[in-house]
Amino acid sequence: MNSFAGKNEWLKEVFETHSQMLLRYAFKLTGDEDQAREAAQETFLRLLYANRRRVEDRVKRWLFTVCRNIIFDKKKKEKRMYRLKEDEVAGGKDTAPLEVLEKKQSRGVLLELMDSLSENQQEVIRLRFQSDFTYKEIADITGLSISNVGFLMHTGLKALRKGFLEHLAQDAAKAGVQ
Amino acid sequence: MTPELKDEMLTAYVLGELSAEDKSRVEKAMHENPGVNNEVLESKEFINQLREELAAETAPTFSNAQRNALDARFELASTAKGRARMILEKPIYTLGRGARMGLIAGAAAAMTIALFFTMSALIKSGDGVSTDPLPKVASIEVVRPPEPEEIVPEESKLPKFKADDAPPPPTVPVGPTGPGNNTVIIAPPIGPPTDTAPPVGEVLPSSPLTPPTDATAIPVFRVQPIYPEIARQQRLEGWVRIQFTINTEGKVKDPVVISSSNEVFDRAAVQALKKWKYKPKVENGNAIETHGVTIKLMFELEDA
Repeated sequence: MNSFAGKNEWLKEVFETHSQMLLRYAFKLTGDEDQAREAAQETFLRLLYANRRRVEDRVKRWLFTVCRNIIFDKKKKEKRMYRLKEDEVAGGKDTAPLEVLEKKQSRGVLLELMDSLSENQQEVIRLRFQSDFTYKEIADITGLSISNVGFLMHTGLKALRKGFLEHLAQDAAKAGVQ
Repeated sequence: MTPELKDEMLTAYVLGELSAEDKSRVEKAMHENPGVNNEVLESKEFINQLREELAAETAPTFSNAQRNALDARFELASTAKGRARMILEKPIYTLGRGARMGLIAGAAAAMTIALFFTMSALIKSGDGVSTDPLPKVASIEVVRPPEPEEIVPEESKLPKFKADDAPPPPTVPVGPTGPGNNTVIIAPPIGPPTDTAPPVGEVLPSSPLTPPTDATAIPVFRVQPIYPEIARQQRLEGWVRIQFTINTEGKVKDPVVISSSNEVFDRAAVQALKKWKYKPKVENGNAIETHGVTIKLMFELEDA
């Protein structure tokens, strides 16, 4: 059986179905659009070489796992480089541009509250609600145990809900004052 | 169950992550306790709102250039030429476990072959300078045609020969293959003595004991046994006693090891003996087969 038979169509289909979701996930992990695109592109190039029969039935999970590994491998390498750069550059500068702040203001309350969660909590919540993965699939992608995923999910949602209720209470108080 | 764990279970229930058993437990609790029911409903509502906000979260898109580049690669995968090119370009990390193991095995095999040739070259270059002592296989102790009165069991004769001026038994450990070293004592030397044995693999000159009589079997050509390498490495010496038949042409037939100090010498002794040539026994002017001839071959290291 030739594993390349019809691979082109399959690859295009996979790309059309999952690329946007993958890019959003990559963006959340990197915090940088170009790096996210690069990581997602690299993921699809690796899919090109992957054995279709082995990954076909779990291709979405495979894409997210590979993309995550690419990003984290790169982060590890860059960590050393950043340290060097920080040493070289005397002092520091505010790197947050104004447009980033404006973007933040236009986001929903829950997305704002998401920023207060730990990276792990954010990741499992996004994998669940943006990419529809189960606990088990999230565990496979992140390398966490299923029970750990369940715990992070629960504590993350609980924190979000608490923050959301406080926000509603503040709004109600403001409305009462006015 | 702690309250925290219970909350966690409710979250898992809302997300459809519970087993059928746990699910029915939660549903039972919801039915019995309106507080639990409200909690579940509120959680569902909250999660729906979160899902909506997360779905609306902005995300980057692929640039046209990137999309075209990927499309080109996908096209490449659909042609035979492209497939061949892909295989050649295939990065090592994309290889399957089998392919990686194959590569490792290939590298190991190449290294083994390289080492083999290196060792071979080293051995060749070291010819003539070996410091190992040359092993020596001692020659025949005894060539004895069977005498009818000597066919009686050897065990019964042992005390008698011990009493005589018999040579001492060998000091090497006796192996499990023979009846014991007492056979050494039994055999009186009839053939040429060991220290006058002619060079191996050569035609023997006429012995003072020749011409042969009806009762003697004299080797006229013999081959030195190859000293077993394992025995040489372990500095092991020993002996092998073989019984055989000399046919009418003087060739050795049906050699059987009847005892030996260590079976490591058996094969070498038999192989060498098969190449030996005897002067056949003559009876009434005709050559006849001589059965039950026994011989003892000594294996000794030169510097031992």
